[in-house]
This record gives sequence, C-alpha cells and structure tokens, in this order.
Amino acid sequence: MSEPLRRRLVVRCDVERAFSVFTAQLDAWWPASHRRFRESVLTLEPRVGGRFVERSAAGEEWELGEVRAWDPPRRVLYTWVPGSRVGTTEVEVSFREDAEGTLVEVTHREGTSESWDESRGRFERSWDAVLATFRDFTREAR
Amino acid sequence: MTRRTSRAARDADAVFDALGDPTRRAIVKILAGGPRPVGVIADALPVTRPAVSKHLAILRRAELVTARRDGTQHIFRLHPPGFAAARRWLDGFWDEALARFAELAEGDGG
Repeated sequence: MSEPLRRRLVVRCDVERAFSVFTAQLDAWWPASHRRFRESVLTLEPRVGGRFVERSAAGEEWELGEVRAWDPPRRVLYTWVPGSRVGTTEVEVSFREDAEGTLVEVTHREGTSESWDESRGRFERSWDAVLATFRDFTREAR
Repeated sequence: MTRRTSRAARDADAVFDALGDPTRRAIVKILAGGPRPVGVIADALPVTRPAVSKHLAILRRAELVTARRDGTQHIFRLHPPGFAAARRWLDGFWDEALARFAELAEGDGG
C-alpha cells in the first residue's frame, strides 16, 4: 500500500460536470461496501478545511477526512481514513479537458504530503517504514 | 461478486487491525529481517514474552505471519500474501467507485 494507487479515466462530459459529480455528488457513486453505516449520506464540504463526513440515517456522524485543496473545477485533494485503525491516506483528483470529454486522474497515497498533527505524522512514518521494509522483503523473496 | 468484495473487506480489516498496534508493527519490522523464535522477538522489545505470543497470535490470524515448529520452539516468519489484502480492498474500491462515477457523470441527470 505504500506505492500510490493511480487510476485514469475519461468521462464523456465537460470538466465542470466531472468535478461537480465527483465532489458534490460523491454520495451517489461511493460504494456501499466501504461505508460505516448501512444507510448513510457522505458529504465533502466544498472548501479547504471542509470536512469529509458520513452521516447515518439516525444522525450519527463519522469523520472520514478533511479537504486540503479545493480548486474547482481542476483539482481536489482530501484526506481519507479508510478504516478505524488505518492511518490517514490522501486522495488527489485532477480534471482536464480531453478530446472525448474530461480526463480524470486519481492518486491515492499513504500518509499526507501537507502538514498534519505530530502524533499522526509519527504514526504514518512508522506505517510507511513497515510497509517499505515489507516491500523490500517481498522483492527479495521472489 | 458481492461475496468476494465482503471477503476482501474482511481480510483487509484483519490486516488493518493487526497492523494498527505499534507493538505488532514492531514485530513485523523485526521479522522483515528474517524468521525468528518468540524469545528473540521478545528480547528486542520492551514487552513480556507472553505479550509477544499474544501479538503473534493476532498476526497469525490475519495471515501476516506463519509459524513452524523447530524442536521445542516455534519459528515465526512473515507471510507476504497476507499483506496484499489491504491493497486489494482499495483497488476494488476504486474500480467500483469510478465505474459508478463515470456512469453518473455521463448520464442525463444534473
């Protein structure tokens, strides 16, 4: 998981719409398999410092991350803690005009590139170290 | 398909739970240097040997380490395929999420 996970796709719509669907309609495409509550609504608050939050039908809130960069309709960067015991990950999405519509590029990486609180930073460094060590190990074992 | 997703999520949960503890991450780091018996692992850590055994049991359940009996002691080693579960879980997430996103973005609504 230390290697960033990358995805590229072209969607047949303009950049503004792609950005809007990805951010404002995040709840509509987010898979049910990766939600904490059975029936919930996910929101990415549209500003730097905005919260990425899941709300259950009963009104419980689960904070998933925070918006770090908000440059509509070109780029959004937010943190995401995919599980209660997983370190913080960072998702960066860019949107660019393409002959067929909009090229969307997703980069999902371990840890954060921007400032974060110290304890979390320490945790991520140790996690990164473990996985980096492990990657070397698997390479040697092959 | 649904079953495979939830199996992957369960496997990933076990990996994340197992690696969420600093002592267990330290054990993984030690074992990255090669197979070791419990005693050697415990000597390198500020925790008791029974505590190390407990942590090793959790790592074994998550399939991150395996054990082999050698005389009177167990030798523990890392089990590489176990670590892939977390990555598979996220890969599966983006495959499904982006397929739904594209469908929505290219649709008529909005």
